[in-house]
Amino acid sequence: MEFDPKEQVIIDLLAKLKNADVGYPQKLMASRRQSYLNQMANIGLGIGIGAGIKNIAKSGKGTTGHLPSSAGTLLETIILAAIVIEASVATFIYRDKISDIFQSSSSGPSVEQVSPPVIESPLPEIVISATPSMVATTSPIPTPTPTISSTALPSIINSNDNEVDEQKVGSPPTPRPKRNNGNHFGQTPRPPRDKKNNNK
Amino acid sequence: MTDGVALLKAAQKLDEEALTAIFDQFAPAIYKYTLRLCHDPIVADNIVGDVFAQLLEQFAAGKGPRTNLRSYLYQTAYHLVVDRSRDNQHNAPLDVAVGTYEKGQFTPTQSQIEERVMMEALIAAMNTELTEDQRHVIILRFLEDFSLKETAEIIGKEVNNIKVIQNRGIAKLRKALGMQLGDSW
Repeated sequence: MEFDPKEQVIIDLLAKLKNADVGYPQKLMASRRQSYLNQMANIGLGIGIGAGIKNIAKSGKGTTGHLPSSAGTLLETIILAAIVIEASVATFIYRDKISDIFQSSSSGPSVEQVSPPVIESPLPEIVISATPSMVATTSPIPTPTPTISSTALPSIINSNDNEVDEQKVGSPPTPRPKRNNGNHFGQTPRPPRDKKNNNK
Repeated sequence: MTDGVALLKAAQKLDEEALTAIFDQFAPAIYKYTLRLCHDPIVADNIVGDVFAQLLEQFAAGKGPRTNLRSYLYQTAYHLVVDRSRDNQHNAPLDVAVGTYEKGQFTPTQSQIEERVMMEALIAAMNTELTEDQRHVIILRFLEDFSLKETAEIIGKEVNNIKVIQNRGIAKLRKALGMQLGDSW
């Protein structure tokens, strides 16, 4: 590529500048080279492990195959450490959800016991107990004389019993009539007479 | 060329000797290039380390350069330098070159003093007058001897675009050095 003669002077100056000796300092270069070699060794180790895994996959025997024992141990350690780290990180991230799950499982299902409502029937409760009992008595006489006695005991709870029960419960007793047992006329208090109401 | 191809193929197989040979061959040049751009020897050394670390990672992943290893290394270095310059806003490259130029084997004759003044003016113009793209193109084309096509690959632009950038850069340098080169310019 040819340039204008005026510009060629600039190109020549740049060429002179190119020859200016800017060397890589020996110490810097040596340390940089050493770190480069270390990186190379690490990458080579990683590739060796990868090749060993490939060999195992190819052979399919499950043995260590071409993988050296030290590399196998290292691989195990790395996998174990990775699993532990991953599990701990996952636990830390989802700690709220995990604690909720544990709390819900420890408390268990909450079952509420519901009792049916007690409805008091106005009718008196009738208890019927039919207990036929057969009593056989043996006697020295060879002819047995069995006596069968059946007792049907219908017990009807009468009003007096009810009164006793109510008194036990604590409800106020019904006032007993003083003179007329069956007639309760006159026991209701009468309202006072007013002129407005014309009550007579 | 065949040696370079064989070296590259061996390096793709992670051959230690080949990888070491690549470092020994290209590390000083990459250091020189990055030092011209970023001005700091420590930063340049770090960039060299990053370049070769990326090369190893690429080879280990089955990737990396297939044909032109030199362009690939310069391309990686270029991107790292650009990233760092965006972070640090370094705008004073090539000063190290001035220092080494001063340490050179120049005797203080009249002509060489004039040449030194010209060189310092050139470096100052490259630092102050050129855009970042122009500076990269000028350095890659005239200090690192890359072709237009290789420069285009490294910077990631079309060849015609590289031509335009180069011509504009040279024109700016010529204008900046007009006083030193003569009043007729």
